[in-house]
Amino acid sequence: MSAAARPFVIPLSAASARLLSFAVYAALLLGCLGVAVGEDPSRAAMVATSVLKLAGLLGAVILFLSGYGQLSQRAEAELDEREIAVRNRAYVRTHQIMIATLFAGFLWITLADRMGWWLPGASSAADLVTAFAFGAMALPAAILAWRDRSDAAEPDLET
Amino acid sequence: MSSELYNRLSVFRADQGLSRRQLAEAAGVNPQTIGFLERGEYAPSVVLALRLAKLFDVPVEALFSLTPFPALSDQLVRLTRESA
Repeated sequence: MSAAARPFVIPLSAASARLLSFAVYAALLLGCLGVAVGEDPSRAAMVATSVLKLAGLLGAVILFLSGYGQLSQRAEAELDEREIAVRNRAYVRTHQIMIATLFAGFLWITLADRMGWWLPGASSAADLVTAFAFGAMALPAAILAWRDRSDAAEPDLET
Repeated sequence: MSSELYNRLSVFRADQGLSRRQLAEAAGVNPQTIGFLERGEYAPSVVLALRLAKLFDVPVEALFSLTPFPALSDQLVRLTRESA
């Protein structure tokens, strides 16, 4: 991936991108669900979850602008056949994860309404939709980073 | 039937004194793709396999095979014995 040759690409190693992707989804989950499900959260808890939420959103944007995010957006003519195959698999996995998440959400809403479980208010619902959108945006890049073993396997391309 | 594809890409590349980057540029692929091919972690398309064979000026079956290639040392010993 020639990150240097493309504008607006944040250079991230595979290890950094993996770490960032883990942090992004943990922050989005805790930031959006933390206050939403808590009973009468304290001011400190609300500040902490807001910071987590913002960090998660920012991290998702960074991941999207990384070389892995750009690989997921590049024209096929700029990629070789292996890169296209890898990207296609990442998109298939992204689609499966997003559909499963949506169905789980719909199932929860359906059951929660009848069983009297927790349901998000308007503000929490907006937070969850935002987290879903940003999570979906960064997911192909996260999958590509987790599947990229070139850091360990390609120590020197000049030999 | 096994879907594994064996190759002698690294042998031919070393024989020609090419780096992975140089071979990649000649074949029109990312240098990492050459590494994936050599390790048998990616099976190339027919077009790429033919392009690589053409670069080394060998038939494609000399470069890729559905069965493991015999060791070069064994082949050398056999050829030596045959010519003796």
